[in-house]
Amino acid sequence: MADLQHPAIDYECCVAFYDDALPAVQMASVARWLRANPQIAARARRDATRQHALRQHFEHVLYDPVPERLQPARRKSDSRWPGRVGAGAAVMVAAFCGWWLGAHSMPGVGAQRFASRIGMPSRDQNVQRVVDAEADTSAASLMRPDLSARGYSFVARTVLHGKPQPLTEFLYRNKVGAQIRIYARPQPERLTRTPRLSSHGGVSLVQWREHGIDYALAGPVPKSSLEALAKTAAGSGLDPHSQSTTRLEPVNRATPLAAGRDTTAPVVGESAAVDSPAHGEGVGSTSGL
Amino acid sequence: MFFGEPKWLPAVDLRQGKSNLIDADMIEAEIPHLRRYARALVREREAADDLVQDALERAWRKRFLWRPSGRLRSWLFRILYRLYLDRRPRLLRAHHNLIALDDIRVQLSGHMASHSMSLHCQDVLRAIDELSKEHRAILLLVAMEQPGYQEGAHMLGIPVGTYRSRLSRARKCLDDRLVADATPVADPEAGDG
Repeated sequence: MADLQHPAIDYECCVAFYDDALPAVQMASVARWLRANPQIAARARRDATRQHALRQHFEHVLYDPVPERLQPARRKSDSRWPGRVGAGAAVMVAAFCGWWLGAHSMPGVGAQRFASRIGMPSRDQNVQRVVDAEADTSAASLMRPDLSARGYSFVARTVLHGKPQPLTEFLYRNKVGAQIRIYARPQPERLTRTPRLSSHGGVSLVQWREHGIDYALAGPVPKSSLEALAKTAAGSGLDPHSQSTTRLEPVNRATPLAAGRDTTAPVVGESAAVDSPAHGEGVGSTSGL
Repeated sequence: MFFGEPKWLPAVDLRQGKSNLIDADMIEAEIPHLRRYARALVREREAADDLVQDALERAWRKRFLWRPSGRLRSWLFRILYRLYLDRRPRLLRAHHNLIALDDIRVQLSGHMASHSMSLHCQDVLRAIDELSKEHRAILLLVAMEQPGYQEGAHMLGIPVGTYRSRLSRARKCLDDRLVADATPVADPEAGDG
C-alpha cells in the first residue's frame, strides 16, 4: 500500500502511528495521510489496537525471572579475573569521571545502581508493592513529569517499598492503552544529567537527573520512543524545592493481597482524552478519522 | 543450563569487528524477548521455555554461523521460528487446556489496561489459534516486536515481499475469523416460523 505521492508511507507506518512505534519525524506526514484516507486509518487503528492488546497481554513475560535452565552455565573457576579487574577499574574510572565532570551527561555509579534497581520491581511479578509511612513521607514529594504532549496521560502513582530508600513509580497510558512507567527517587546531588538510554537485564530504560531527582523511564515501546518520551518528560519536570504545591496525587496504597495487581486503577482523574500517541498536532488532526 | 560445557570464548567486540563469535552474555540479554514470543506462540509456560531452550541450544551450537552484520535478536528469532514450525502439532496444541489458567494469572497480575481490552485480547487470541502456524507466527511477531518489513522478514528467514504479503493475508484471515465469531448464528427455526 505505498502511495505514489507519499512513497515512504506504507500500511505498517499507519499501524505504527497508532501503535506509538513511529519515529517522531514521520508523525505529521502520516497523520496527514491518514486524515485523507479514513478507511485505511480505521483499519490501521483496529490492527494497532489488536497488536497492542496482545503485547500488553504478554508483557509480563519480559519481566518474569528467567528459569535456571535457560541461563548460561557459568564456570566456577575465575579464569576471567583479568576482565573483572578491568571492569572494576572501568567502574572506578567512570565514577571518577562522573565526579570530575559534574553536571555533564555521564551516568555515575549511583545512577547505575538506580537503574539496576528499576529492573527488580519490574521483573519480579511478586514484588511487594506496599506503601508504608516511611515511604509515603520520603517519596511523596517527588515531582511527576508531564507526558501529555506525547499523548500519555497520568494514571497512578505508587511507592515501591525498598532499601535504602523507596522508589516512586508513575504510570502513564495513551489512548490505545500503551503503558509506560517513570521511576523516581530523590538524589542529594543537584546535578543535571541528560536522558541516556541503557539496558539492564534485557530491560531498556532511559535515565536522567534533574532538580535533585533521579528518573528512569521504561515501557514496552521501541527504544527511539523511549528516548523521545524521556526528553519530553525531562523538560516537563518542576523543581520540588521551588514548587511545593504540586505534590499531591494520593499515593496508591496497594495491599499485599493486591500486590500483583500493578495498581493500574486511576488514582487521579486527569484527562485521558488523547486520540493518538503523536505530538499535539498529530493528535488533533486524526481525531475525526 | 543450556550451554552444557561452554568453552568461554573471548568476548566479542562487535563494533571493532574482531570476531563473529557470540558471547553468552549477548544471548542472555535476548532471552526475555525470546520467552515472550515463545509464550505467545505456544501459550503454556513450560512448553514455551522448552522451545526457547531448544532455540538457545541450537544457537549456541551454530554460533559460528552468525554474522555480526545482522542483529543477534533476529537470528535467534529465526531459529526459534524454525523450531516452532518443525514441532509436532500435538505438542504445540496441547496448550488449549491451559489457556484459562494462564489467563487467570495474567488477570491477577493486572497487566491488562482494562477488562474490556482483556476480553478483546481473548477473542483475538482465540481467532489466532485457528490460523495456520505461519500466519500465527507473523501476527504475533509483529505484535510483540514491532519490526519493520526488512527486520521482520529477516527474523522469519523469508524474503521481504513474502513477508509483506503473508502479513497482509494473515491480518485478513484474522479479520474474517473475528467477524465470523461476532456474527450471531441464525436460528434455522426462526425462518420457518
